[in-house]
Amino acid sequence: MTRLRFQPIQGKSLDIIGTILQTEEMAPVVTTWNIIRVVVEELVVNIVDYSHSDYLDVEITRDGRSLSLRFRDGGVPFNPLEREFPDISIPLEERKIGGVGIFLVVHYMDDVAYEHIGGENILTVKKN
Amino acid sequence: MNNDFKVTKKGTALVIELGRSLDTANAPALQNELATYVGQEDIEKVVFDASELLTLSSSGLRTVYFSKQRLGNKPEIVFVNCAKEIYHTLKLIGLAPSIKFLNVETKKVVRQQEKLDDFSCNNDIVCYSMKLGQSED
Repeated sequence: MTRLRFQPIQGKSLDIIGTILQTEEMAPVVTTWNIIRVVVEELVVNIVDYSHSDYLDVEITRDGRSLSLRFRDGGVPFNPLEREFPDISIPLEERKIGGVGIFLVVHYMDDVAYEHIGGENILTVKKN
Repeated sequence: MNNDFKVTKKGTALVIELGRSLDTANAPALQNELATYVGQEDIEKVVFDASELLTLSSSGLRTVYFSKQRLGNKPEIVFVNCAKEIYHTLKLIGLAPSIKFLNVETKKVVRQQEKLDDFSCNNDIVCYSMKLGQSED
């Protein structure tokens, strides 16, 4: 398992994403690499841009073929799973982008769980 | 390719050659470049050449939304040589019906096939060059 702490995080999305994707747990990811890249980006950008936290802790765990990522921040309580998913029946010319990122995360990953413990947002995603 | 994309206006079409990813690392720069075409009402079509594209995030999708909503007069959106994973993402979020998908044999693929043809002529075997997600027919 790799534990990473990023502080401060404002304006550091690309560095944080790059560091997570370069951990040794990511090395065996081949067939789902592009999916994992998108998931890491969506979650990091969301936390950096909207949480108002000054830190982000990330735990990356590999167990056989499964990969788990846990994101913890001290920002405003926000459960992304309670956010309304975008209405995908609306045509492109009338569509708004909001909510697409977490929508992709939920569909790409096998498990997505949110907790708010000790003043921290904890989001855990797992790909089997 | 700087920023991993190239934008070219060809007649009434705006052609965007994408690299391997369209994400938060390069999508804002692409959107800034697309913004320079806002107000050009003659843009009838925006073509995303996705021949190399492997990763598409919500940041990248913003440029597709922007193209449809801010360029020309609701131009046709075309994706060329879209890998099945990218098509799946577009379909997943309900955009597939709003996008025209084309498979075009690129110069690069033609060159690869020519090399394979030369090789097979000299080695008594048949070689195929096939893009990921492409069927034989």
